[in-house]
Amino acid sequence: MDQLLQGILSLTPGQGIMFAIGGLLIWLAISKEYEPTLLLPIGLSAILANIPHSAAIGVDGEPGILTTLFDAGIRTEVFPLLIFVAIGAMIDFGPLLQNPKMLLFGAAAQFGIFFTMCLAAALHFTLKEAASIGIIGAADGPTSIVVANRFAPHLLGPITVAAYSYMSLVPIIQPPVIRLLTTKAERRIRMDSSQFRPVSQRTKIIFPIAVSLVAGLLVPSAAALIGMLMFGNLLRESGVVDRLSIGAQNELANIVTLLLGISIGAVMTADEFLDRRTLLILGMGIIAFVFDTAGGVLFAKFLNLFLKHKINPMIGACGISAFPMSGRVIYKMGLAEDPQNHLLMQAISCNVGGQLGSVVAGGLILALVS
Amino acid sequence: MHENLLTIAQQTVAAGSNADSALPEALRISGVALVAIFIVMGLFGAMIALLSHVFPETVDESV
Repeated sequence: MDQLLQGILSLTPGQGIMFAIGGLLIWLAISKEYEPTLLLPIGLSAILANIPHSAAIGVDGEPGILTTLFDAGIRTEVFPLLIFVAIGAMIDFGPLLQNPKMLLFGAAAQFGIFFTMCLAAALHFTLKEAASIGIIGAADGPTSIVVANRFAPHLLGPITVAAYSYMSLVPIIQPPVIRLLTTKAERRIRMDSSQFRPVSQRTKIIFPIAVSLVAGLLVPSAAALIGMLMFGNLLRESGVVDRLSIGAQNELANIVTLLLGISIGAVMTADEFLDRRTLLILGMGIIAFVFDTAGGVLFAKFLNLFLKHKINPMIGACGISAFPMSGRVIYKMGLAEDPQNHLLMQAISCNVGGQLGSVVAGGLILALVS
Repeated sequence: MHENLLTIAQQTVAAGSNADSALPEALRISGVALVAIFIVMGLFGAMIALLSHVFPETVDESV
């Protein structure tokens, strides 16, 4: 009888709170559809990990399924890197190749990463912890996981939850920041689509190879991140391995997303997660997204001081990585301001640039902080 | 009284400077990284322009 009751009798208030947090994540995934593919498995695994004497975490020193998956897929960085193969296969870099100037916004909108990193350092986090918190602003789950796993594995749970939650909240976070920093007239600026020049299929094939090579040589610590992203894109653009490309976009993406989500729960135990610092991390995550958006918008306004053909500053906000959500948000905002203002191509090309920018930022942080 | 206040202030400053020791390094790294990210992205842009020039689109290849 004691054995049957040992789970209930050993339950701590902290574990009870973690059940509630797991339930909240599941509710957000199902009712609000906030990144359901990740928050749903993360929510359930958070519950499983906090059951006293849970076999999911491990019994008598033997690892359980969650810890085994975590060690195999996240500690080794295999899962996030495989997710990059899938993302690369899904992304069409065409709009960016047709208007490469948009890459600059992919750099400017990473400002939130570095602002938040400094803020975290000012709030007494160590440099490596601060870098891991700042990278939430990459708005890119796999990059956040890789950096946090390398620098602050004990903060991986809250950082992952913050990264994926706020990515799904981009439609709520970005519009007020953009409205605050722009005038109505600026939001109604129409952009010339003639800047988009058609590119050859050969260019689209060479691009992922060249980017892997250049980024790998300049920032070797980003070689795995960018290399996997570009490998997925090469599968897509080569035109000769459609089966692999479709497999990467569907089966690989689905399986690895499932395993990644369920593995995160292994580090969401009450003693690791319930900390004043978790609240700080969640708060700083929002700040990172806000300053990313502000960085992109203000950079566009700065460029407009010198440009003859003005840029709609809302486009700068798409330099955040959250792809394609951010692009869609700006497209809709443009239409709301002026029903004839179609910014989709500009928004998507900038958003694709943001995907590249976030990976480069992750690689730079890995190189400079270590 | 004044000595006590001075001691407390000194302790506060000392604690602050120890705790904030990561901030100068974070500021330095952030500055370097921000410049570097613009350089890398600019290089990508230049590379795309070069590729588009070397391999211009043709009617059959246009995307």
